[in-house]
Amino acid sequence: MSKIIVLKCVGHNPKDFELDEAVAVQFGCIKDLFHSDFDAESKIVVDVPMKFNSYIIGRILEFCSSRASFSSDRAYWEQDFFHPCREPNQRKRKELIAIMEASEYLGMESLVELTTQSLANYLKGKNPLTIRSLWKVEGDLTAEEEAKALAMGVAKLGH
Amino acid sequence: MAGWLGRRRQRQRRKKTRHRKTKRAKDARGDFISSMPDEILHHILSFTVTISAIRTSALSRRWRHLWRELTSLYIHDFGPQARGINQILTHYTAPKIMSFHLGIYNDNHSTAQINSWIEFAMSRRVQDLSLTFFNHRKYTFPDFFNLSSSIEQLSVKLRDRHMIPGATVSWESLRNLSLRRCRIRDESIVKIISGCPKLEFLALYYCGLFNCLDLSKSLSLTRLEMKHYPWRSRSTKIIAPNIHYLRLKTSDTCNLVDVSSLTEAYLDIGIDGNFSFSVDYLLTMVLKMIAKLQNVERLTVSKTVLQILSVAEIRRFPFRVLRVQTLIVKIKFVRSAIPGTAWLLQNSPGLKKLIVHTTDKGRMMDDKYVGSYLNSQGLKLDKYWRLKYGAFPTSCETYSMRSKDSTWKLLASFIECLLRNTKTLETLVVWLGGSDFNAKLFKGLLRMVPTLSDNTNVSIMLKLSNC
Repeated sequence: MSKIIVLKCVGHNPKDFELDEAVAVQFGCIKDLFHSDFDAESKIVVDVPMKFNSYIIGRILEFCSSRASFSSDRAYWEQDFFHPCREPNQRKRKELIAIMEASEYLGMESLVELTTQSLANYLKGKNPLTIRSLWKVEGDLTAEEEAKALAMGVAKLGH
Repeated sequence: MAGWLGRRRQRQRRKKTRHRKTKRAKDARGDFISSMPDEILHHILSFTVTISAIRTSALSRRWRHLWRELTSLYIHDFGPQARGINQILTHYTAPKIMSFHLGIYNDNHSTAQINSWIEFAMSRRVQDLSLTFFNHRKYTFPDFFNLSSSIEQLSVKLRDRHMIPGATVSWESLRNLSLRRCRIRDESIVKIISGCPKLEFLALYYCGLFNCLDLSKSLSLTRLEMKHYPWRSRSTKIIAPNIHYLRLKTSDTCNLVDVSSLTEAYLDIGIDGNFSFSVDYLLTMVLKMIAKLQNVERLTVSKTVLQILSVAEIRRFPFRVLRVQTLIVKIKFVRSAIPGTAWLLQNSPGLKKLIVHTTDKGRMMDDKYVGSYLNSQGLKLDKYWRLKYGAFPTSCETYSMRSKDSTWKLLASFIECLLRNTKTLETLVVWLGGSDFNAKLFKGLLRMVPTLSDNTNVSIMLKLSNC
């Protein structure tokens, strides 16, 4: 008897996703369900919290069946799903954060790491001004405070 | 007409206000990253180096003090920044450090400075400590470094300098230890092993001086990795009755005295570019090691090991039975590697799964070298080799074959050769990577796979690897 897990998404666009075993075992929180004895039902319904809408879950499931989830190389992730440099769109970045949170909830460590690293790449090695314009952060520090923050950690000998 | 003009103007005005409203609405949705909770921002910042995290403190008030509570510090020092590092550590406020990574690139810093940084990390009960010294000539580890109850993971990378000066070692909670290019004597190894009662994983990469690794008293150590440089011949002895996993890269005798609990092994032979090795010597060595790995369930072999085993196949060396169930081979489709694969299959009567990775990584012996060795053995072995495995190009010829048909023929010959040498195989997975295969070629090859599976019960899968 093959078990089917159903992810039930509520909210703006309610949708039910049916997962087969190969996909469901990638989710840490669902993996255990396959190992317990559910003789009575072969179908288990998991309710997904409202803040994760069906689009995000759909994207995660897309990832699970793509080659990016089988390889530990970031190249596939960046080619098929999200390359930081090619996504200047604020909406896409918001989607990335939503995927990160949802995969954290579902217990999918590999995806959490991929998404967090993509987000971190936006902050890595960048000038605060660049980051501000990218993420629309409002700078509310005084000039002095800002100068002090920028000088931290980069003091040269003799200064 | 006036009415029509008036209505037109009204429509235009309405369009403008609508546009303005949506623009404002978009801006209002603007800064959502700052509104995320601290834990999530900390998590994101922990994936960057500390200097980048510190720069975010210039973004806004919300970000100003975030970096101070980060539990991981990753400091890669590129210049004379001792004062900078001191400044960072002074302002850092988190009471506990989960991971501290320090990379020192030059030897401008005094030993006392570096010791103060290590002490800082240890005083905050660091769990994962990683120290890399790229060039430092004068540094010696302090005694307090050898005593810690909080460190669970330790990684030290040196440039062939001595590691433990000789004091007692007590790393009570240490589970993973990785040492690279550290010179450690036998006595120091003993001290380390006895001072880490909870050690589970030990990696010694290119470490010199020791000859014997006795892990019999380490009951929790189950994974061991050891790599040696090919140009420094050193024979080592491993006594490890409790390990389950062994990864070995060596080019000299490695005497596996006791590896009775081993279930998984990865064997690699390093050869240097000058080809100053003797094939006979390597052959004896590899056969002895494989004899010790007889009972392993999951075995991985590198390209050079395949080449050496090819010699065993061509010279018809008899062998005892391997109990391996899953075999993983790293290969390039050259003539000198194919017989070795056949040899492994012939000697593994219980083999269920075979995973093949074609890759360019790792040095291989030149086929000319193997050919001239076979010639020197007499018995027309070179001719036999060419006859039986002529479908496969030698390493000098591979560059000329690039067409889809020739690649397909090669792959098909390889798979045919595999299936001929095994009776029990259930699954065959071939990861095509390296310069011979690309995505376009791969799609064409995939279409031809069903023709291979026609005559066999083995489930054959082709996958594209990007290595």
